[in-house]
This record gives sequence, structure tokens and C-alpha cells, in this order.
Amino acid sequence: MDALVPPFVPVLLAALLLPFLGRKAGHALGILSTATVVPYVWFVADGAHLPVKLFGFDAVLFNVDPFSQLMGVIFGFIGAVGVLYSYASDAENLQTAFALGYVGTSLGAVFGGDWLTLIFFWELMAVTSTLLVWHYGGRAVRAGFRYALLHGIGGTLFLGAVVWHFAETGTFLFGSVPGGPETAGLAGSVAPVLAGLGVGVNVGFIGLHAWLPDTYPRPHVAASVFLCVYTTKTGVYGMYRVFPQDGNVAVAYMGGAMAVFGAVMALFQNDMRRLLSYHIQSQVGYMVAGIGIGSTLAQAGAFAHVFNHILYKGLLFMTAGVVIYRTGEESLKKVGGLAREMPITAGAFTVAALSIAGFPGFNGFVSKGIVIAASHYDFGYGPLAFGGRTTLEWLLLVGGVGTFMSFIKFGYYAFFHGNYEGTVEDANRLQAVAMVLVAALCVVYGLLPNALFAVLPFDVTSKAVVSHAYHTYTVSHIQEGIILAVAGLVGFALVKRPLSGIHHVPDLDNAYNPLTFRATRVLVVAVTELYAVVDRVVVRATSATVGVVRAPDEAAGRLLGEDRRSLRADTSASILLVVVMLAVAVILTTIL
Amino acid sequence: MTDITSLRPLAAVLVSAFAVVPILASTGRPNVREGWTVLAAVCKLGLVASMVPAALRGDAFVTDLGPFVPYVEFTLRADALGLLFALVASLLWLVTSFYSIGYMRGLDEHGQTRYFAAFAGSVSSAVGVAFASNLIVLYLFYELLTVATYPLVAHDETDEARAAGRKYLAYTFGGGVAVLAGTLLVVHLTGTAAFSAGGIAGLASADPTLARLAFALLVTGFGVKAALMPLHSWLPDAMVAPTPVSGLLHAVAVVKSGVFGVSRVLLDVFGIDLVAELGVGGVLAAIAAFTLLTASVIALRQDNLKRRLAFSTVSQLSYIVLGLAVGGAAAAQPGDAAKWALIGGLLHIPAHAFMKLTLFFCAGAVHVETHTDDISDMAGIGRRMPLTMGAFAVAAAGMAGIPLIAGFVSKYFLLVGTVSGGYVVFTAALLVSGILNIAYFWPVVYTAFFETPERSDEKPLVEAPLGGYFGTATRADGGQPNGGRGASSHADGNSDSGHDHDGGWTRYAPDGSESTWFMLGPILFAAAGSVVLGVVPDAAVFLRIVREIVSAATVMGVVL
Repeated sequence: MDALVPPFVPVLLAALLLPFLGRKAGHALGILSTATVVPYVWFVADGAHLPVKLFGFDAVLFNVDPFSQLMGVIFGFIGAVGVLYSYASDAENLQTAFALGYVGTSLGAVFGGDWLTLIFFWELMAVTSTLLVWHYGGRAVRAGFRYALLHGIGGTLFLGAVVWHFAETGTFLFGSVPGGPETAGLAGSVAPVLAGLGVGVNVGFIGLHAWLPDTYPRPHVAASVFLCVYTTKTGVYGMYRVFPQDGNVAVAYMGGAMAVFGAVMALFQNDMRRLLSYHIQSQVGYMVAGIGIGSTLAQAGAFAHVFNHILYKGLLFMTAGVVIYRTGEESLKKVGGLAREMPITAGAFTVAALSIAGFPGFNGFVSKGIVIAASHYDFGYGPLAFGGRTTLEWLLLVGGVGTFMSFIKFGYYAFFHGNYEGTVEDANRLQAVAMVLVAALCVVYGLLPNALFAVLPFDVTSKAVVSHAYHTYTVSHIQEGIILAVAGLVGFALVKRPLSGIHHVPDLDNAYNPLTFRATRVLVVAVTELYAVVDRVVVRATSATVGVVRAPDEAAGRLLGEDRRSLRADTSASILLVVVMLAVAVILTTIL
Repeated sequence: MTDITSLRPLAAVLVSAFAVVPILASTGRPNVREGWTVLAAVCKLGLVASMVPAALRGDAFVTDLGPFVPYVEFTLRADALGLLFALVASLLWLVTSFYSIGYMRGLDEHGQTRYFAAFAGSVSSAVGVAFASNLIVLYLFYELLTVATYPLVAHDETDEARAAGRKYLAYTFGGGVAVLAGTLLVVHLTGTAAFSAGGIAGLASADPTLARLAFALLVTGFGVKAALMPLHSWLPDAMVAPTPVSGLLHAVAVVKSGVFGVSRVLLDVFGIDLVAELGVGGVLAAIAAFTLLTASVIALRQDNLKRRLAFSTVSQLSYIVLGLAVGGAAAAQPGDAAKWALIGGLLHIPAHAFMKLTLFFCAGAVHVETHTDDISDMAGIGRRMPLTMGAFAVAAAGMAGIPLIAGFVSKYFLLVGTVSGGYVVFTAALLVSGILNIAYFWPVVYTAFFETPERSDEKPLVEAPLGGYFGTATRADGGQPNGGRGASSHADGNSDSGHDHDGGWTRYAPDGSESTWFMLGPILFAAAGSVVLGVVPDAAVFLRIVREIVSAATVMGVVL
């Protein structure tokens, strides 16, 4: 098993070279380096791994199993599309270099066969994505700083979990790797909690999610395409590694809650990319629910959703990006009627929107269906079960309605409502190539679900592997999809008018940003002022002592209110002093 | 474990002391004078490095100069721990010598002869500290180091510099007194002051109260230079010195002589087993944890870059002390907790040295080229000094414990050590400190590269309005107008004010034209060193030395 090159190597090399190449050559190299990852990780033998020593610990830099393979294929593919889109959208070489650094470190994270490698790349991913945000300047800078701080906290929690795991087991290797521990996942009672929270920042647990809508709308439109893919999906992958067997009930419900919360919050948004960012949280909710349920069906569904989501969410950010690129407007209120002006973009958007909403015939329908089936067959009823459906299932279904509603809103206001004054060009040729390519895949994987099933870690159609063999196109599934769509349409029609009156819905960061900021300021000022006082006292006391020693007569004079007082002792006074001292000494020794 | 009698340790100490004479004699011929400095630095590094292979085998070179004072021999012994410190100091002295040339000439400073002479003397004393074989000799060099660095601290000859110099002397001599008292107590208890791996045997049977007192005196004394709170306040004031001094002495040689003293006391005077038995490791660790958090909090409010770095030094030095102290506290436990903690603490000596030297060098280069000292004036300075600020960003990331850079590795070992030993509080302190590091280093990085003077947050961030530059104008939420980012900015990135606006700074290509190679070379070397230590610490010799020290110090005798 020698001479294996981990897939992050070519991508990171391309990232390093990119600033020194021309735009065309640099981006071509970027596309080449990411695109080769796809066949490379697909054809490398399952079980291949590259053991190394990292700081004296056993580590595995390249670990191929069905999970990492799926992640590698889709990460490499969308990376290549993203670079193409960046080139078409006038991204600077340096920005694409940061983006490739981000792609490369994400690949490093998912192909790590041990916790040390995973956290190593995990933290680097946070840094490279911060640089990608910062590169745009302006508003993106401070948002990037908030992003860096929050991901610093998340990474720190995860790092803590890994260290706890090591203290418990004495190894960093995954359970599935040769030489690894008996049980997969994180050992002990502390590590899984810390990791759940740390990874929870990346996947956008409610309460830890506000960085998503805060950060992703601000950088360059091409940067958003990369951002919407890697951080959260690596998070889902990490969540699977933390809970590889039997899942976790709390995580499952958190996933269901995210699906609803994200979709509802998205409904209130007018900034296009902010709306899409809330939908990342909502969609990742389905994946997190799948990981939380923990059965083979659920895990396969979660990873199928990762795969599909990367396609349609990347496509959505590309279409929104083209609108912003061509019109310069970020808000849905400033655009409208663009379908006539930008037919390709509108078409691509429609495919992506139907995919994310889970309409029959599109890829989201397939994978979301698997997760919902798992929540039906493999999960407890929970407190709010009725109509033969579990609580979690209801949450996921309601999230689906919300998704339909907000994408009907997006499409309606951006492409169909009103008329756009003036003329707008459609996507340029390369942007169109990128979008049509991904849109085609959304349809292909929707119509031919077996193509999707082939890349999944478990065969969802086999009764031997999963609790309930999954069939995509059954009457009840299609019915369900159409009912959700109709519910979405009706729902949007009902809330359209009240919704247009809402301008700003505060999220949690509106509370915790000022709170943290003020608390930090109070702490910092209190500490520094206290230390300044202590320092002044010490310095004054020292100089006073120095004064006494240097000029004792002046000091005595100050004490007595005179100019100076002679401290010279004559003979009798000297004798008296000596006698007193002796007496004190004698008394002290007798007492002690 | 054999001792090889040799003059090499003595030569290594003296070579730079001898260089003081020709340096002083070459006043007026700067090139000759600096030639002597570089020659001495090369010789010193060669001598120190030549002793490393033996140390890795567990052997030590020894120079015995006979009786010094009653009970005490004047012996220099280059064991692994001593070589760790000596190698860091002499390697970085060579680097700093080149940097000093660029810095001092770039500013056309006065008193350069005195400066280079004092510098050579300081490094001599530092290596003397490293190779001292007993507490008395260590004390001697420890005090000599204070004396030799005083002219450097007060170099500016302004009132502020003199005041800082006085404060420096008061604190460090005070610490020296405590060291001497502690040393005498140890001699009184055991009849010897000589270091011995695993601790001085007689101390274990001594009166525990007196032993604790001796420990407290010694650690307090060394804690002054290790900047343990509340004995740290000389360090930020000493930043008035020229930047190479702040870099080599107040981030490497002087402060690490304090840390080194602490490690000698823990490993070779008391021995970690006795430290655990006396229960003093936990107390020291608590002080270190307090220091590393509080100093980071104070750093958040510093606008002067060198002062911010100084508080970062205070904080990072306590990482080392924390590792040593936890190593001492956990020695009695089964398992490898003590081992991990000691490796983490000791590895942080070179790790912090490389990173912090990079940071100070960068601050100095910025000062020489642009006379900018405050972070609030540095918006966009990355365009003017791309290589310098790039190196700064790398080293700053290392301070925060980001992977690929030295700080990650040592922090990682420290975390493993504290968790395995069950010292969860200290783990939490280390983790929180990492986040605080991001909070006070990232703004420097982003203002340098991604802001312009017209559009930048006020620094320090805690003093400014929430949300920074844009926070005062509009709410930063959905559906807001987006500050002039029109269609054209997307269609044509070059017209965007966030991108190519030179914002008051002349743009320099990252090809070295931003400054002289006398400064850039050392900066890039130190930055590269911190990356090498972060990626392949075993290939860089330091981790191997550290493992050797730790296996000698822990009774487990596990071959690491």
C-alpha cells in the first residue's frame, strides 16, 4: 500500500501555484486538480489507507471507505464546477487560491483515518474559509472575523473531544481503520458531548447557526458557491464519525428542529443569499436527523442527501450569484421579472428549487425520501406522533412545506413577479455551462435513483442491509411529494401579503453579539484597570522606599513636617539604642 | 549516561563574551564590528550544535573548573535540557544578529557598538544559564544576564527607557534574591546544589515545609523572568527597547532563562516525583493558568503592537510553566499524563521562540520601514509589506494553535497531558486561551491585508463600537442596501474599493523590495522554522531533545 497520494495534495499544490499563474492557466489548473480527484478516489481500492506518524502518533492521511469515497467524489466534482464558475464570474486568482485551499483542506479532513488528521484539517478549513470571506473586503471582513471566532470555538470544542478520546483509548485511529480501537466513534462520556457541540457549530445546530446567514451572503458570489458546500457537509461527515453506530436521539431531534427552523427563517428573508443560507441549515437538518437516527437506512439517506444537496445548493448559489453579478442587487425586493431576461438562469433555478423542495423527478425527492422513510421505520414515536407518523417525521415534513414556500417566494419575486426595467444579460457562457451541467445531474439523479444508490455506503434497496427496502417511485411517495408542493403553494398564497410587511426578523446573533461584546469589554477594562492600579501602587511604594534609603533625613523630615531632620545619633543615644535592641532580642529568644 | 570531559561547554559560553572585546575595539568600523558578531554567533551555534548528538544518546559534555564556593563546584554541563535552551538561544542569536544589522542601520540608531557588545554579553550569560550544572552557577549567570541586558533595555536613553530599565532591574534582582535564598535553603537541607536527573536525593527526606519553602523561593525568583503574574509588569515596559532586543531577549533568551530555571527546579532539583509528593505542582499550574488567561485578556486592549505581543509572551510563557507544573503534579499518577505534559511544555520553548521572534521581527520591520507602531494605524499595511505581514499571519496563527505551525503541536501535547492527568480546569484554560489568541491576533491580520485606512474597524476592537466600521452605519442584516457594491463591482473586480485600492500605502510586490533582506531573511527564516516545527517536529531536532529530557526525567523509562 505504498505510493498512495492523498487527494488533498494536488488540490493544495494548485492552490499554492495559482497566485503565480495567469487567470486562464491558473483556473484551468484548479479545475484539473479538483476534477482528477473524482476518478482517483472512485477507482482507488476500498480499504486503501496511508498510515503515517504525525508528531509521533499513529495517523492515517488517506483512508478510503464508502463514506469518505462519496464525500471525495462530490467534493472534487463541485470543486471543479466552482473553479469554472469563479473564472466565469471574474474572481481573482488569489480568491480562487483561497477557495482551493479550502477545498483541499476539506478533502484532507474527510480522507483522514484518525481524529488527529481530522481535527488538523478541520481547523485549517476554518482558516482557509475565513481567508476566502476576508478576501472580498468591506463588510465581509468583520463578518469573517465573527465567523473565525465562532469556528475557533467549535474547533476548540472538537479538539477537546479528540483529546478526551485519546486519554480514554490511547489511540487516535478510527475504529474502522486497521489497528484502530474496538468500537468506532468517540469513547467515554465527555468526548461525544464536546464533539456534538463542536461539530454542531459546523452543521448549524439551532443556537450555533447564526454564522451561516451572517457570513455567506457577504463575500464574492463565487466564494459563496464554495462556502455553501464544504464547511457544513464536512460537518455532517464529522457528525457521522462521532456517532457512527445507533445515532443519538437528541441529535436526531435537533436535525428535525433545524429543518423546520431554517425553513421558517428563510421565509422571512429578502436577501437572496441570506435566504439560501437559512436553507443550508434546514437541509443539513435532514442529514443531521439521518445521522441521529443512526440506522443503515438513515445513514445512507443522510449521505445521499449530502451528495444531492451539494449539487442543488451549489446550483442555487450559482443562479443567485448570476442575478447579483448581472444586476448588482442582493435583495429580492430590488429585482423581479427576470425570467424573460435570463431564461437559462431561471431554468437552472427552477430545477434547483424543485430539487431542494423534493419534488418528484428531482434528486432531492429521492434522498429526502430515504431520510423520511428512516424516521418512519427506524425511529421512536416521540411526544407528538399522530396519524401513524413519528414526531421526527412530522418535523421533516413540515420543513419540506416551508422549503416549498420559501422557494416559491424566491422564484416568484426574482423571476416572475413584475417586470425588470431595462435589459439584463443572461449568464455568460461559462457560467451557463457550469449551471446546466449541475442542473442536468439534479435531474439525472432524480429520474435514475439507482445511479445515486450506487455511490451510497449501504444498499438501500436490499432487505438484507436496511430495515425497510426503499423504493423511490411508489404511489404514496409521489402523493406525499405533490401534497407537500400543494401545501407550499397554498401556504405561500396565504402568507404572501403579511410576509411583505416584514422587513427584518432578528436572529440569535442580534442578542449574543452585543452581549458578548459588552461583556468582553467590561471584563477587559476591569482587568486592565485593576492591574494598572496595582502597578501604580507598587511603583510608588518602590520609589518611596528608594527615597527613604537614599535620603533618610529628608524622609523623616517629611514625616514630621520639617524640611529635614538630622538622624545622626550622639554617643548616649547610640548606647540607648543598642541596649534597647539587646533587650528586645533577649525577650524574643526567651519567649520563643 | 556518561559525562565526557571537554572544554566545549565553556567555549560555547565564552565565545560571545570574548567577542565583546573586538566589538568594542571596532567602533567606527561597523562592518568589521558586525563581522565579529556574526563570527561569534556562527562559532557559538557550531559549538552548541556539536554537542547535540551526544545529548541525544544521553551523554553530556562537562567542563569542571574546580571548587567555586563551599559545597559548590564551578561546573558547566551540557545535558539535553541545557542544550535545548542553548540551541534555541544560539541559533536565534545568529538570526537576530543579521536582523539587528538591518534594524539598527535602518533607523540609524545611536550607540550601536554598545548595543552589539551588550547583545553578545547577554547571549553568553544565557548559554551560561543553560549549561550551569548547579543552582549557584545558574544563579550567577542568571544575575549576569540581568546586568548585561540592562543597557539594551535603556538603550534609548529617554526618561521612559530609563524608568523601564530601573523597573527591570528592581524586578529581576528581586527575583535573584529569592533564587539565592532558595538555593541556600536547598544547600542547607541537602548539602549540595548540583542538579541531578530525577531530583537531588537528599531533598526527598528533608522537612517538607522547608522543602516547600525552598520550592516557593526558587520558583518565585525564576517566575519573575518567566513573567508569572503578578511579577510580569517589567516585561511590557521593557518593550521600549529596540525591537531585536524585545525579540531575542524578551521573547527568547531572558524570559526563557526564567522558564528554564523553573524546569531545572522541577526536573533536576526536586524531581517531578517529589513535586507531586509535596503537592506544589498544582499550585504552580494554577498560577500559570491564571496568568495565561489574564494576560490574553489584557492583550485584547493593547493598541501598541509590541505591547500586545508582550502580553502574548506573558501568556505563552505560562503554557510552558503549566506543562512543567502539570508534569510535576501528575507524576504520581499511573499512565503517561506527566510525560505528555512535560513534552508539551518543553516543546513550547522552541515553538514559542520561533513564532514570537517572527512576530517581533515583523513589528520591527514595520517600524523601520513605515514608523507605524499602533495596530489602529496598520489598516492596509499588508500591501506595503506583503512578505512581512504574511510571516506575521503565519506566526500569529501558530500562537492560536492553528495546525501546520509549531504552536499546534505543543498545545496538543499539553492538552493530552492535562486531560490524561484529570486536570480539566487547565485544559479549559488552554482551550479558552486559544480562542482569545484568535480574538487578539486576527484583527491585526485582517486589518493588514483586507482593510483600507478609509474603511477599517477601530482598534482595539473592544474599545470600538460594536460591528466596527459598518456597525455604526447600518444594520448588517438581510435586505439592506449594500454600501456601493453595485453591479460593476461584480462584473469588474478591479474597480471594487475593497480590492485594489492602495489606501495610502504604496503597493509592493512580495519580492523583497519592501525592506532589506537583512530583515526579511531573518523574518522568513523564523517563520519557516515555526512551520517546520509544526509539520515535522521530529525532523527538527528539538522534539527529539525534548523526548530525551522527558525520558530522563520520568521514572517510567518508557522509550518514547
